[in-house]
Amino acid sequence: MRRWLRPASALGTAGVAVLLLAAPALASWTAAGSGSAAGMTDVMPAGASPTAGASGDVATVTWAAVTLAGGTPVAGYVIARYNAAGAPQTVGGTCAGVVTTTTCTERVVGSGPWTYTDTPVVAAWTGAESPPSNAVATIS
Amino acid sequence: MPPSASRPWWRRRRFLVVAGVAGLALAVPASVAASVADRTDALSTVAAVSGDNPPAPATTTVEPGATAPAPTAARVRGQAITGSGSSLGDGWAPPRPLRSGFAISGTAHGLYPGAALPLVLTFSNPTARPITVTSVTVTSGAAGSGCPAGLVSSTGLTAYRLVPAHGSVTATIAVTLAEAAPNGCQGAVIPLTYLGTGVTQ
Repeated sequence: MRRWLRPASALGTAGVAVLLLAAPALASWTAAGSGSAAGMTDVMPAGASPTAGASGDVATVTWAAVTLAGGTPVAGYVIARYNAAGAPQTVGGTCAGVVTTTTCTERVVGSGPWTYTDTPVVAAWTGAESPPSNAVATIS
Repeated sequence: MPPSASRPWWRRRRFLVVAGVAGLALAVPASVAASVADRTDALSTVAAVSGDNPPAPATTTVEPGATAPAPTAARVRGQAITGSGSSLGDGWAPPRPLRSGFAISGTAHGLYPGAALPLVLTFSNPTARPITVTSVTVTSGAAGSGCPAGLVSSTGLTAYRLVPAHGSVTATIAVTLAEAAPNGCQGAVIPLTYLGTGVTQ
């Protein structure tokens, strides 16, 4: 009786041990989430019509700041100058490139008359070009 | 009288032997069966998506035979490790395959090039177990021909979020529209897709 009970006892003990170990096992599972929605982008404003003035051969241009539809100020403005025929001219001085203020000056060769516009920019975005400024004549 | 005759029934050797053998007989196939079932069962979870947009159903489906993502900090103790040949009882195994899903919703507003803006996400847990959300990624599609896909990026979660059973929580991440986003993205509705991972017990 005892002979067969010894190996059987060992087997039984192992079985009980397995039950004790298995019972409190903690299990985790990965969980996946998904969803879809939309990202609404903002809209660039049009530039405000600038005011131009001249003193000798220097023209000064000022304009009002504008903001994106969400209220964020634009990063800068691109200034353009046109001759009487409406042909674009190369601007210089502080009016060249992207102007981050709301005023700029340039020394102009030629008498004009000239008109100016400003176009808001944010990175690669551009707004609509403003209506032209008043015509201004410079003396060079 | 044999010595065991005075012992209570639950201390008798014969009972222990029978109980132990029965325990082995029950535990081994049960563990193996559970593990196999976890690996092969198809799971389909349908959850409602809430947010600023009209609710729409989101479906997460795991096909039979799918494998689990890379293990996270959570581990499983005392499980059978399917396919590895490891034994029962004392091994560490990676988390089991997907057993539940959660929904992610939230709409970004006012995106413009180069700006990191807050996006409030809502995690909704339709299951009866809490879920710890560990990561979220955001991908963007095209909005027409003038606004290509892949222009929106995000920072992801800054901390794990515990979503209670049948509950929801919010988390704020930052999303950015790329500086190179062209003019065609102005006023666009860019489709965003959220993918999250988490752990549940």
